[in-house]
Amino acid sequence: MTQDLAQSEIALDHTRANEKRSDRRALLLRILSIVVVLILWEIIGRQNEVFLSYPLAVLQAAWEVLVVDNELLVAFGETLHGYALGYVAAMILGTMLGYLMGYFKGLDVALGPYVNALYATPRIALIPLLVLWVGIGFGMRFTIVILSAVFPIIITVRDGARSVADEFLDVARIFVAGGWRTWRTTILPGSLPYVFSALRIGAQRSLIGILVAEILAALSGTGRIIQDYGQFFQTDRLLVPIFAIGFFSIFMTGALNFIQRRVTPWERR
Amino acid sequence: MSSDVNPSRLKNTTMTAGSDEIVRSGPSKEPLLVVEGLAKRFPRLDYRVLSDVSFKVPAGGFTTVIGPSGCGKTTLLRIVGGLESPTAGRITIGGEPSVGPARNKTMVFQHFNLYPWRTAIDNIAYGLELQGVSKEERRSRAREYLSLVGLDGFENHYPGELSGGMQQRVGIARALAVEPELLLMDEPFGALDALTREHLQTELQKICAQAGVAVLFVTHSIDEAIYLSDDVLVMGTKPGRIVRELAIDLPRPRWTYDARAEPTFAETRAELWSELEQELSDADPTRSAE
Repeated sequence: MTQDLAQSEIALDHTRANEKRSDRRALLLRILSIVVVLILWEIIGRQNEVFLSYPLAVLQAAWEVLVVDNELLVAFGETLHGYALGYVAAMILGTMLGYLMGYFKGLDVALGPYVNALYATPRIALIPLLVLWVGIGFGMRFTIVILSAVFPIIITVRDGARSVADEFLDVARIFVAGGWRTWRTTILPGSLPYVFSALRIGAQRSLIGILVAEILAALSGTGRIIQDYGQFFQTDRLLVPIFAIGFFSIFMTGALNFIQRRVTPWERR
Repeated sequence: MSSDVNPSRLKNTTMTAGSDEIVRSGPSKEPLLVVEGLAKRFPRLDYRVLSDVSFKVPAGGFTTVIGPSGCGKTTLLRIVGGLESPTAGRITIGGEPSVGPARNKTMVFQHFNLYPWRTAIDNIAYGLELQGVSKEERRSRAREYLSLVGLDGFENHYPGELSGGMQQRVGIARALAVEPELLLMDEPFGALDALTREHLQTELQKICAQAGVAVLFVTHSIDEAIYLSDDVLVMGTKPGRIVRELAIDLPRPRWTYDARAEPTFAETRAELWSELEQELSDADPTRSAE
């Protein structure tokens, strides 16, 4: 048996070395691809300044909106404020409801129709109504983020709670775990991958929601400056908040992936 | 707890011969588990899985249920474990009615069912954790059982990092760590390769002798049943019922000699095989129309 183990560890080392090598190759390829695209964009963009702009112009615009005018950070700060608070609220509310609906059939039957209906309704259609209800300030951002994120989170977490294999539930039962302990020791860890998917989907959806609300309801914030730059054909400036949002979205997904790896060390070891 | 695993329950090895029963080499004759008139029916399918199943497992004894697949042996084990409820019948453990899961019985599963999110030691400590045993105590007790199943040094491995045989060792340690009186084993070696399987059969005998636990074991391997058991219950199908009870008359401990080469072993195998063949031909629709 010890020999078995030694062999399997050697095998594991081999695969790890292989993975590292292919990781490095993938990184190199990715950088190369970015460089090529940037150069092409620069060449083509210089002939179509209003349509496309080009990387160096965007860089200069970034300097202007970030440092000279200081517009972007103020706008971004406003967006982020509503986004962060709304997302945290949606996260708490969504996971709680998701687990409760996954666990209590009756609750799922009672709330299912609302959740499914609201999940299927494009949330941006609610924006005019929300203007009436909560105005166009922080309340709008907070509400639209919750509405965008909470339903996909509920549904994904609920499915995750149900997906925990009967084999694991048998173990909890045979060792006489009660309801709460079954959840904590079995359902929660067994459904964590779903929870993280839910949080990633929620992060994306709320970003879309908040930007659309800012553009549509003429709020201040990042959506608003995107709208303004667009109307004045300042394409180089326009691309700065768009990239900022893109990077932020990548950052959110990366952060959630990082946390997931830390919280679930048994996966992919 | 001392370094010795559960010394209080180490079984006595005096030989006792029953007047109306079989000679046992190891366990005392006090029945621990008594199953009476157990029946299970799935109403929707109007299908009787089990019909009038009755048997006893003595304290510290090793009883195996053997039968063709689909005969309901796993269902029987799950009902005894409290994971499913019977349609009729009575189960008592140590004289007390046993309904639903309880602390005095645990199960070892065919597919191990280890929590992938817990390390080996934390899997073993799971039952103790649910019983509210303090962290220190349960770690030290879990470590004892880890070493009982021969996995010293693997406490921080996740199940995904262990071989099948090692995973099932963890499964056995997890079940024994709560010091049950009755251990239910559902084809625990069925998913393992032949070599690991034979090795673990011997290990299991040693472990059970040391822990002094009674075992109800389900398998479809005749050799496994003979090698491990004091008693073998042969089940028939449609409905699942016990058609034969056979005592295995091989002295213990069986790992000290080549028990599989004994004439008694071959005779018992032939006897069980003819019994099972009968059941198989009854059960197989290609051999006899229903």
